[in-house]
Amino acid sequence: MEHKFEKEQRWNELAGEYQTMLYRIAFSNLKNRADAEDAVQEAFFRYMKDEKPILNKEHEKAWLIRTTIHICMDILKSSWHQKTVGLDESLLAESRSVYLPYQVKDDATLEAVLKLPMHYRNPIYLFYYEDYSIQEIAGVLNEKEGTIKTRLRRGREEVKKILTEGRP
Amino acid sequence: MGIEEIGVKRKAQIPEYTNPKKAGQSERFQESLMQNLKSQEEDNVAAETEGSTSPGGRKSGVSMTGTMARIRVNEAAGREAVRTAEVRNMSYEESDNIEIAVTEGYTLKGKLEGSHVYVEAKYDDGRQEAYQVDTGKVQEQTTYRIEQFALETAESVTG
Repeated sequence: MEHKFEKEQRWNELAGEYQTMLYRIAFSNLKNRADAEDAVQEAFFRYMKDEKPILNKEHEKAWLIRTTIHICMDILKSSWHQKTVGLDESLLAESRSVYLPYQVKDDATLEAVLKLPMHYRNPIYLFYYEDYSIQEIAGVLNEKEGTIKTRLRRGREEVKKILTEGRP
Repeated sequence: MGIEEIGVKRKAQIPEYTNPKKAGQSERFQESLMQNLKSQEEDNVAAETEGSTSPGGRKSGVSMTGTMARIRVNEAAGREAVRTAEVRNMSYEESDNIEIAVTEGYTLKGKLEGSHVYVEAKYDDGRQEAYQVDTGKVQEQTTYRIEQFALETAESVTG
């Protein structure tokens, strides 16, 4: 009974601390509220089921972000997603409040970022909009720092292309 | 007939090989080096007199700013209103003003602290820099992005 209570408490702590941030990351990948909610819930489930020791807060956060991104990739690769056309809610005005807890002056750039391929989108989104350092992103995405720098640079060029030529 | 005699005879028959790729290479290199140095000097003089932002990295202040076409951070050196500060890793939530410049490759965060604005800059090459800007000393017509951003931050807080 006590164990259940502890788990519930832990669940509430996790949700309070990371839910919004993970939801934004999931939404930036899936561009759909319902799918993003599913991805975040699945990430929390996996975290609670996982018996591996979590070293510290940073490790915990990195684990949750990485798992959320992997779940998003799985959803995007799933046969259901491949065969259906989901509603892209990222361009809807009411979805703008979903993105970030602060006011972004340049909506066009954010929309261009969301159009990037996943391997550019995630580093750019985490670096600029979630304010992660290159070192942290490398840890979260299990990549070398040099790879992240390259993706940030190339992703930036892609954003410019989308903004000027309108193509990803 | 000795071995030396044959060797001498053969050496005399073989014409000296000149690598066409290397011919004149050192002269050309020296010439282009001098040209680069000259144009760099001219740019430095122009930047110092104008005191404006310009694309391309130039040596000014603490270290080279790199060759990125963005704000010249180390231009802070020699500016009365701007002092370099220790990076605190301030979050977006703590900041009074933020600028996300994806196409330029940097983010700026600012917080008003008394008569100063603390500004933190982060670049996509991994650099992080921080400044204390005395807004009272910043000229209104400044073209230096850090100073402009500090003024915007102060205005956003005080209205």
